[in-house]
Amino acid sequence: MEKFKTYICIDDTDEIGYHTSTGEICEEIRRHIMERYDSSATPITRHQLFLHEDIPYTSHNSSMCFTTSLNPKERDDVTRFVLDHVADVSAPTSDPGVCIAFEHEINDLDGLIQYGFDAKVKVLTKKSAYTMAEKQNLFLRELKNSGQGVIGAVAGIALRAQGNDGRIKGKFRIDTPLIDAHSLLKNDLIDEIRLKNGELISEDSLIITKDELKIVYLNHKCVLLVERKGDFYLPLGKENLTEY
Amino acid sequence: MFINTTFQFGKNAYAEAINAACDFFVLDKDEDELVTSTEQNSCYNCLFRRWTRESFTCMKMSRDEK
Repeated sequence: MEKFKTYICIDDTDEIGYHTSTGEICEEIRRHIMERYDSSATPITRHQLFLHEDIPYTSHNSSMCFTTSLNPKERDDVTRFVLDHVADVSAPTSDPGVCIAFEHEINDLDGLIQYGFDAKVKVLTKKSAYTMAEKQNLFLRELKNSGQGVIGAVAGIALRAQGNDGRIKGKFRIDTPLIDAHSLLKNDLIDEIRLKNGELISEDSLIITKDELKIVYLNHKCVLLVERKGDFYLPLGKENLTEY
Repeated sequence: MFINTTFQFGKNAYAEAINAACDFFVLDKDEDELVTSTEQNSCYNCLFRRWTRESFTCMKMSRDEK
């Protein structure tokens, strides 16, 4: 059976002080798919949504999304697993939402992407999320309590599909304190190395890699952002990546 | 450093956020939510901070009404 690009996004699974996070739960789902099916999965992206007093987020209002390839039967199996797993491991007072979609079944990608942009600057309602899901042919389900996480779950898929939003979950350590860009790009986790103004650095550039690396998602690629430091390049640290 | 439970220096006051870290500090277990170095305790990395548009509120203060 033919496999199709599949988006999976979850939101609002935690509570203040809880032992696990939305990112960890998303990673468990991703791992399950890679172990159980003959499918690879992309790194997870974290998408920052609107911070506003009228939105009942836990601490940071972000959703987590990744893509994989599944056939229709696998998608149905995975959907059941995701619903059970998120219901089981999410925090008791959390409001989880799950959104799953085949990319080729999305009716109006631009309309969906606009919803993602809106979720970064506006207070949206659950009703708007369900309306958007129906319009765009997305599977959307709330699992506990208020189910407010459906908004972020739809928005996460929208922003991932747009391809210019979010940080890659996790951080990466390189075993050497200095490496040339060509060698660093052999690492599967990094597609490009750019300055913040968008300029690609040359492959013979030397990058200081003594600290852990954080990657962002730009133009559908995993990008390491760097700044010039004398004759070398220094990866941007956490403090300089909060806008992503 | 707080007005009610809101950190008054915003989101980019890294030194002040270190100074404000209290005995109730707990490092956020989710490394993707850490926004600064973990070498020193900082309210910015604390499990009990709740981000707002301009800054964050301390949920420990809110909860305990300290």
